[in-house]
Amino acid sequence: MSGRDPVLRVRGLVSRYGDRQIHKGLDLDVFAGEIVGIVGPSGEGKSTLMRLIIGLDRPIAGQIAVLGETLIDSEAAHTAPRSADLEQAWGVMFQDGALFSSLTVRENIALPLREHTNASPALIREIADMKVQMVGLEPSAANKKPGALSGGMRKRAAVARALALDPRLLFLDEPTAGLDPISAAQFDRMILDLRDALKITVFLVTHDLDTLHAICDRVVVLKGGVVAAEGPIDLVRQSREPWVREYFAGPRGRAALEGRTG
Amino acid sequence: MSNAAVFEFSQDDDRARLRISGDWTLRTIAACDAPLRRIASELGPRPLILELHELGEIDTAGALILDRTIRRSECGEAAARFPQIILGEHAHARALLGLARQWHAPCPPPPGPPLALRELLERVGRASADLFAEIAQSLAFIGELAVKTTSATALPYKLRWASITRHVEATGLDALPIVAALSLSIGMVLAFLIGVQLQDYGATPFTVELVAIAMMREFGVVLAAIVMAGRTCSAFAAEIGAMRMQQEIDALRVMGLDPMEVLVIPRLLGLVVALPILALVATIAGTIGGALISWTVMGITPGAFLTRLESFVPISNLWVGLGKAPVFAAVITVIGCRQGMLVERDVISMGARVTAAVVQAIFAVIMIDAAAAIIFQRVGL
Repeated sequence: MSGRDPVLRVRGLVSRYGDRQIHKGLDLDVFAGEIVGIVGPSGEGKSTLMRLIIGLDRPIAGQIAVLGETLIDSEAAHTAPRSADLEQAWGVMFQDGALFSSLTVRENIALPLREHTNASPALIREIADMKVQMVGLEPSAANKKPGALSGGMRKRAAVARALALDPRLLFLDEPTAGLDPISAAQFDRMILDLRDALKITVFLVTHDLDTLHAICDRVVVLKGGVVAAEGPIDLVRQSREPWVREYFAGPRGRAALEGRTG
Repeated sequence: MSNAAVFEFSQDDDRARLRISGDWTLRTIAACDAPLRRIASELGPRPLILELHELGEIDTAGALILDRTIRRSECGEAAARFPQIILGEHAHARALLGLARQWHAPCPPPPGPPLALRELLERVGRASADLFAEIAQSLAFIGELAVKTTSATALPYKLRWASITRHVEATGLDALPIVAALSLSIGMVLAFLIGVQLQDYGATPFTVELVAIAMMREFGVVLAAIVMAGRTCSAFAAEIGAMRMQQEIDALRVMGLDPMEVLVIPRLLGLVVALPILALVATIAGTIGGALISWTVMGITPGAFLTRLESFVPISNLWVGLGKAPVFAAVITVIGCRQGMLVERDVISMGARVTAAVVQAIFAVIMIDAAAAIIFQRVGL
């Protein structure tokens, strides 16, 4: 892994929620083209880490650099405003999709295209229709509003919107939460296919052990406000950290492992 | 940072050639879109050679418009005879072009706007049908609320006192400053207008009666009710609507709790207590405003104002005004809570319902007040 420039680099991240310190000097690198799964107990700041990186929350201290551009540096007196290019270089899928409920799926995907590019309406529609199929939705879903879609379809539509501007970095927050195992497996497959086809980097917050086994190149365990273990899943499973042992050696962890090998 | 997308197109009798250079990404292709569309439509049945030796970056959007161009060149059945040829090496252009081909089918178009006349008739019909349904549902809601409120107040120890007092505070106490300030200004304006008119007849002292009676009978209570319609009715609709969206109402039902009893009755009782107090404060503030103007502009001292108030303005005026307050409170609560209950699980309906709540509440307050004015007049109060 060393020697390559990280797409995402986090150093000494400290953050607080109310009175509670969540991240206590967290370091993390994500490299180009990999799928990194962030795991950890609930409330240990997995989703918060994502929100800090994409700039929705502000840390107390630390540095965050994405695609070589420093977004936050607590030691620098003044952080340069991030460029519009950067916001278009990442796509974000929130946990419940966060699709705009008053727009159809096609309009949801078209919105960032309309706002950030000078493409013609006809081209925008072609691109939006392509993204609909790219994430494995039925073509007829393009005209539906989010309320008329099932949970799995909504998540796919949310990924399609996140991919609208062809980002290089894709953030997914609990993508398979609330999906039935078959839909979840299909969703995992889709993420893997998209990564291979589009050469994007995926930052994935998850609880889903099957997802970790199936698609993650590297697993990062957040515990106690720092990275407690990281590496390929087989390596992380050997960790002596008690939570990691329990997580992977518990009944669900074993089942997921058997699912992969069997 | 990125280079403009450039293409060179040439064709002779037996082949067409498209040579591309620069970056072909979402950011750069906009200018090439229209020319390539034209080329695609004019391409005759001949093979097309795509040269991408000088291609820089490419993304799915770039692949899409390139694939669209070369796909059109195939001319249906002649495709087999005129294969497309891609020349040049690139890290992932071929893969992306392949994907663009795989996903190229357009999705069904959005449904067009309906015919104007038909839509007009449809809307009129729907609105008329909805009106009757709305009236029926409102009556059902009012009936249910009346029955449940009666049975709930029959056992006062079972009422949710904490909730009721919280609503008295939020709807009444917190609104006191705004209601008092508004009403003070209205009282001043009223006194000024009346006083100036009466000056011509040398009848300025009558300003006292006119202002006081207007504030007591109408303005105090109506002003307070309109502020409640804007402030509290919208809050009720939004609170209950948000609970509907989060399935909290369903959760209450499943636990065997009646949303009417848990949510609506405390709001109703809270506002029924708060609105008369607000109306009283508004009446007093308005009369003080009138007294201030009478003193500064017309030279009626506060002492003289009070004396005249006592001797010439019957207190029954105040009871007529305040008597309307509980009615307004009930109407505002019913409208706000009912509209909140009608919120669906999307944002649009939330906005529509809160709007409907405020509009209906203000309309109802003014209509009821007008009807009450006529009735009280006939009865001789």
